[in-house]
Amino acid sequence: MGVGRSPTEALTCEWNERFRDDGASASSPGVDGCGAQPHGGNDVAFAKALKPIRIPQGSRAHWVLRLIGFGAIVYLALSPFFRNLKANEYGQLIDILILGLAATSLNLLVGFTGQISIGHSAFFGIGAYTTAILMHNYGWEPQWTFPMAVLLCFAVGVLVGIPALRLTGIYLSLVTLALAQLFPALVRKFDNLTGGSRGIQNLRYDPPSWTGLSRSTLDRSIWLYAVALTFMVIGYYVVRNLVKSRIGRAMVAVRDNTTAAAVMGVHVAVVKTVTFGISAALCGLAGSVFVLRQTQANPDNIYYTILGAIIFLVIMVIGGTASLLGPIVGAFVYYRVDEFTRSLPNKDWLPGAAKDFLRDRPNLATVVFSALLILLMFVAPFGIVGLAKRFGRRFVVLVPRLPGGGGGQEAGTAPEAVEAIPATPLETAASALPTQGGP
Amino acid sequence: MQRFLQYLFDGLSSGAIYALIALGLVIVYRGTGHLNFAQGEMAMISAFMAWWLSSNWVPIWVAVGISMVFAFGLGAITEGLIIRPIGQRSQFAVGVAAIGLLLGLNALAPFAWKVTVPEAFGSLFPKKDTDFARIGGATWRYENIGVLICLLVVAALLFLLFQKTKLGLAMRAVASNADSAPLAGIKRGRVLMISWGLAAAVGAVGGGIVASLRGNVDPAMMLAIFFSATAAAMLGGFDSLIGAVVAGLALGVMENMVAGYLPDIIGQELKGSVSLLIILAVLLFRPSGLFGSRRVERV
Repeated sequence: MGVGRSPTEALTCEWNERFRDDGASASSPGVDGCGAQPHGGNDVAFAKALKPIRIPQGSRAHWVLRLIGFGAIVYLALSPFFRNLKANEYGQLIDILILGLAATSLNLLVGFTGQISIGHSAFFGIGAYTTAILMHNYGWEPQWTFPMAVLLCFAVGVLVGIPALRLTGIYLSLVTLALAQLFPALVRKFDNLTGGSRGIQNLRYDPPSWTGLSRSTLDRSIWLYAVALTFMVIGYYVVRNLVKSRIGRAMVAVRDNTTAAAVMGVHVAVVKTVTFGISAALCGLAGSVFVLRQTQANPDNIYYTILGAIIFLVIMVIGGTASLLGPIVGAFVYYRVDEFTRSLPNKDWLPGAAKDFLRDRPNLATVVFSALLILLMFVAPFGIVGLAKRFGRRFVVLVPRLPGGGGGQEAGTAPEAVEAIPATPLETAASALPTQGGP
Repeated sequence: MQRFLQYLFDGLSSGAIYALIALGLVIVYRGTGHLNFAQGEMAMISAFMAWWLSSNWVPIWVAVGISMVFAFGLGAITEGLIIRPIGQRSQFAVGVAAIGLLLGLNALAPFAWKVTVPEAFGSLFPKKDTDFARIGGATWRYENIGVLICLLVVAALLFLLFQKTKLGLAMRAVASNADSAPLAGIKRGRVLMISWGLAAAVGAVGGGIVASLRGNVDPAMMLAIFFSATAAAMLGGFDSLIGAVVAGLALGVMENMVAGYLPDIIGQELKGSVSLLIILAVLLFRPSGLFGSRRVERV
């Protein structure tokens, strides 16, 4: 950041910089003064040498590609049902889905609207405590608490979004940080409602009778996996449809240049607050499932504290900012890294000294994960999905269809600019092709 | 009156800690324009360093001094190896990396020292039950006075450094115009590394003091303090050293007053809400803080 530059301006520049990649940025380098170089020049040279296959968008080949991607995801999501997993393995999958949903909700806000929040643990916690309190104090069925959690988090999200209207960059992150800091304190303060530090126990979610599942631990895990999967799919499609719709374009416009967006007729205040609300609602839904998975609510749980908010952010960034599938990939990687580092002291291939060193040392996973994050900022600020896209582009390039119906062949010059939003990972994406400076 | 004085004395002590961390934030912000999310955690890991040294028979003041040197190195290396290279390609990435650093350092301390429970930390100041001065009926503990003196000494040294030395002049030059400073022969990279190192070293004083007041070191000890310190830095205007000191002390006193006079509504649990309200008020009514320089933004 240039020193004389305000955080706001720097952030705007930053987004422009990122979007230079798409060639879709409205501002030119001379005007906004960011002066960034489009990176990835080597990739372009390499891609040219290899002559990747070009597939026009919307062609039959493209549909086949999409179908394969879709089928692979459906298979991955449903395969646990046919594999006789144990209850704890289902538990791991549920955790991945919950983290994925929370990161997805954050992605809507950070990735697509450009508002950085370090306070999503509060929404996660509000969702969790809504479910817990309604079940414990009022005897509600768990499934009816989900809509309440969503509504409440939406309302709180919009409320937080209102001061956020005047804030950008670090100032917004400070307000959300305050929220994250306050939530556990509020839970402790109102202990006659929330149980305070003792928490709320015995939050069981038994499968309904129509599923034919029993009340055993395994069957409850299967049911909760199904619920979490459903919510993940809902969350994914909410974000996907939002982003691909008119409001999504408005969100990206607000992110890249708020002033220009307002001039173009985007109602910036509505877009920002509603996005904040929806993001909070999805995060609250994740929290609701989380509390059922934990079967108890406790303010000391790391995911309700500021560290939780940071973990969501880190998962999102590792997976891929402004990528739809990124947060889920990030959650998976996070969980695997965690599991792997936990099992390290028992691995045979490690020398004994290393095993002794690692034994009884907590938090190796977080250390590794943070190092991975910082490393990724050097190698691929777009996260794992961004990295995969860039790699995939060496083999397959998707050529966007021009509005006139032509297109396809002369993709090397400019038509990439047509696609303004980073494409879904299913489309192997010409959208993120580095610009080549034009003829 | 006695109550008022008591809250004032206690507040000044916690305010001095906020001010120390806020000073670090301001030094970094003036240098590279970043909010160093890891400032609190750098102080925490320095406190762990001091704890480790002091539990190996190093006198505690010497241990804190060595931990300051350690922190200086940590800060300088962070700037040189992480912040600057990443900043050259993306500012968003710098923010994320700093947050990653927060998380990583928070986990690294218990990992490196094999700590699972808070470990006892000696006291930097006289800490017997009888060690207090009685002023107007209120007790002012020597350790709280000591904290305040530490802050004033650090602030005075920083003032001298910035105003009276060549290095301070270079740092001010980089802060005021980062692009022109190198043209005047200032090694900007080195100055920025020193800024970050200095910020971390000031934070290490804060970390040592926090550990001393708590009587133990714990990975979570700086999280809430960092948050209040950020609020203080913001109130002071983010680029003003004197602002950070005044605002830090004021915030500490305000928190204690509010918590003390409204025990049922706010109380000790919701002390942090004072910081939140102050952040919001500053942002709404005086975005450049009390002492900060106004920034004009070109659209």
